[in-house]
Amino acid sequence: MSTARTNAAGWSLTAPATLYFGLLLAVPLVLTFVLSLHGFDANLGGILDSRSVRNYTAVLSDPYYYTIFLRTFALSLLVTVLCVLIGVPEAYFLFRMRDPWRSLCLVMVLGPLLISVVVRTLGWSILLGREGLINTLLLKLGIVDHPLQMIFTFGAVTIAMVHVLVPLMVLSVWTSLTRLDPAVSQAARSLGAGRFKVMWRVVLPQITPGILSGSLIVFALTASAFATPALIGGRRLKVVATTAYDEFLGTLNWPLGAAIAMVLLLINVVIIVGYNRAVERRFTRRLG
Amino acid sequence: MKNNDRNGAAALFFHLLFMGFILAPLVVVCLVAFTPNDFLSIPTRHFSLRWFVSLWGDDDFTTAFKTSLLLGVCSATLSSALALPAAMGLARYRFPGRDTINAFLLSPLMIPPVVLGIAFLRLFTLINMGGSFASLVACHALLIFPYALRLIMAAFAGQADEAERAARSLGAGRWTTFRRITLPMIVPGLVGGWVLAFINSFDELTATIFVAAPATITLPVRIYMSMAETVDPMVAAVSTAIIALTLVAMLVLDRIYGLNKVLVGNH
Amino acid sequence: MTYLRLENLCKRFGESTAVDSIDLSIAQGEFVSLLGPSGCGKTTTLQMIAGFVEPSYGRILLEGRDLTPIPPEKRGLGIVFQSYALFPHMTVTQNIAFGLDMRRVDSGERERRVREALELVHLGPHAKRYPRELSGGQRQRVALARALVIAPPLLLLDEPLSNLDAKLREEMQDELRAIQRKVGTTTLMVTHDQAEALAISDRVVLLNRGGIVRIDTPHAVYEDPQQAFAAHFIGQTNLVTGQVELRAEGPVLSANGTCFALPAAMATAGAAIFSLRPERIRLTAAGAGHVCGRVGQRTFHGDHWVLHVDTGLGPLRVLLANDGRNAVAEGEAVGLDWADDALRPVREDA
Repeated sequence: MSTARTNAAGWSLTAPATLYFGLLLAVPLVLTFVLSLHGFDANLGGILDSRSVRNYTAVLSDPYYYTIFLRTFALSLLVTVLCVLIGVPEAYFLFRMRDPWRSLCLVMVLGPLLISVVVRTLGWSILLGREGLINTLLLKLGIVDHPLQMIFTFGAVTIAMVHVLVPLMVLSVWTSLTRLDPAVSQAARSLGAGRFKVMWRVVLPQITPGILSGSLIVFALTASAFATPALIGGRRLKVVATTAYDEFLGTLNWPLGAAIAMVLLLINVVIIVGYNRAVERRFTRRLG
Repeated sequence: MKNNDRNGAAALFFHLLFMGFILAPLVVVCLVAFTPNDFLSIPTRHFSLRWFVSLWGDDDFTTAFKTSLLLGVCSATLSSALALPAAMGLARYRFPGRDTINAFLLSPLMIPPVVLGIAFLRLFTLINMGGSFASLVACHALLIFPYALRLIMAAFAGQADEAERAARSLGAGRWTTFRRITLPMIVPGLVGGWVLAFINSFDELTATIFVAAPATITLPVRIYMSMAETVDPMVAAVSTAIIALTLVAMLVLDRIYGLNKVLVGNH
Repeated sequence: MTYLRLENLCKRFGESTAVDSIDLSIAQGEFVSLLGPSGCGKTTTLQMIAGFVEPSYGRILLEGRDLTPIPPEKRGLGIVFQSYALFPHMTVTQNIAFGLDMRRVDSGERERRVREALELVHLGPHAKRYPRELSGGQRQRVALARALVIAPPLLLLDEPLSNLDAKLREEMQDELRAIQRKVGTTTLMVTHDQAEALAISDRVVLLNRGGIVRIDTPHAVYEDPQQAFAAHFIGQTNLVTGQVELRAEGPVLSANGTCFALPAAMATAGAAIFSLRPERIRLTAAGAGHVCGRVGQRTFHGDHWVLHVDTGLGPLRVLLANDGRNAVAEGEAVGLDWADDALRPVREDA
């Protein structure tokens, strides 16, 4: 097929989807950006006509927002580290399992990804609430006198986020593991390396790209998480996404909410693009 | 020799703890749903269906459920219809801009749902369609598109290429080839993509919170609103129903396409 | 009139030339192999004949008719793809019938022809099976039947046996040839396996780097390679390089200080390369023969021995048929002799 016809085929087949995305993705994002430049005054009836970057300077300099960004960053970091610590060994364990257990466990670990995050978070609500199951159990057993404050704490949000996102870490590492050549590990064993050494010095270096890509996904998703921090963190533990919600649908300060959303988008894009460039290039060079 | 390759006892213990961690919240939800009491508790002696009965009678939840179902069907269909030609174009042809378009069409995965929700709300308010069912379909179709696209593209990457050439060499024109050879070969990917897209639409929460109006509340949003007030066994019952439905959907996916392939991808 | 003619066929991909001016004439009923290493342009040539790749230049004429502007679905050629490309959602019968479907053949005749095709490839009992239920060899036969049932003027085979294991490949080679003889369809086969090309074809077209090196019958190509590349690629050979000197007693090849007599016919002086096939070298007593040497490594291959003999001309590879006795031991001194026509002059590679 000639180049001209190949190009025409490619463009015309992708045109419907591209147009749809242009209208429903590119346009709204641009509109939101424009919105974020407007001013707002509740007393004067809402969105003003002025254009400025005042919202952005407010967001980036106000200590109130600083705490929120910091908290979100700390949360993302902690959740990512925990996911790596428990997700990587689990993926390795699963990988060395035999069928039928292997497929079954894989489905049980990855299946929850198909269940709405609300349902998964509900479980933690039930477990960690003041009148929740863990407290009820502890009170009944007499271990404590009054219920512990578990929900609406930073720790609770961390645990719930780890629960929601660790399957993605397992998935990423699993993918890396399936690309390994088993003969490499066997060669190491034949040269005298024990099981632990093999994992530490032969397998781990090879699956590092998978670990890093999983970390990226977990970090980015935690940074932009809404439902879990809202339900488990409560009104006082704000993260970036819930703050955007507050401004937009709470205070109705749409321009400010839009500005926060744009900042969140920028952070996400920078993380993903910058990461891809820096790390993957380093690893494809080494591992080929 | 066999034992050397399998996992040790400590590792097994860790694995069981991990599985417990993953499953505990879900199991707890299902158990609480069957409690005979008025408050959150695990049923020990009696299992009751009272909460499921009240769920059945609760208009708010049943309407939300129907909305979610219809929304899922409409948006999955729209998504798949757009994804089919796009997948074919991207998988088959090398043309300038291919990589950019590919990234563009997969971008909803990378954009925070909060941002998308706000962006959609802004757009629909401006064109006076805020809160309508059509606007929900439009934005869900966009959000779930990457899932449909991925699976359908994987289907095209199979051996459909050479089989098509064989068909053409035997005298089949372009349309006949597509209808009798290509389409049947990609049907598992097509249907699998549809089901996966449906599941993701049904589960969608964050962006929907911004776009939905009181008349078009979906089930996850309803649950969210209910949880924000108080957590009672009714919410657990609804969630249990969702878990059950998801299990059914997973069985269906496994039949058509292979659940492992959907979750993990083709390797 | 030539049945199939490739006229000055060229294909360029950007800067690189995949096929460089191929000129080929094939008679009706011939079985011709396109043979060469990977990247030599044989598959591209086949794809141009099939119509899936547009030539940059040149024409393809079938019975005088120019195929070049005609799209693949109108050319009516029978093609067997390397991966067989069977339709996985159709049974064996439906696969074979597909081409007849496209030609609107009525159901009675269609059934008859499909049955005949199944008989031809010995797959009668598997008519209702699906491709995934068949072995590799069986799938290959379905692909063949599917291509032949439409009674095409030309059959194109793209490395049809490369996916089969060694034993099966040998069986299928014989079967393929038998079927082709029976049906009489002009056939063009692409392969990188020189033994296969020699075994099946009426003529071999040897390609290298986009161009034709040699066209001839298998025996002629083997015995008289004419080019160093051909001598190496087809079978095994010893390439002896040296200077031809015209002496009083006759022409002599001088190399590495050793020299041996050449047949009188080779009277041109100067640098020369000769091809000497291992099976044409005979062992004689040390001191007799054309050159002398010492046996280095020897390996046993069942029906023959391979000896590496160190001589003044360099290491020579010698193939001895197994006559039941143990071959000469390693380290022994021997003389090497050969008939006059065993030594073939070859040109340097371009």
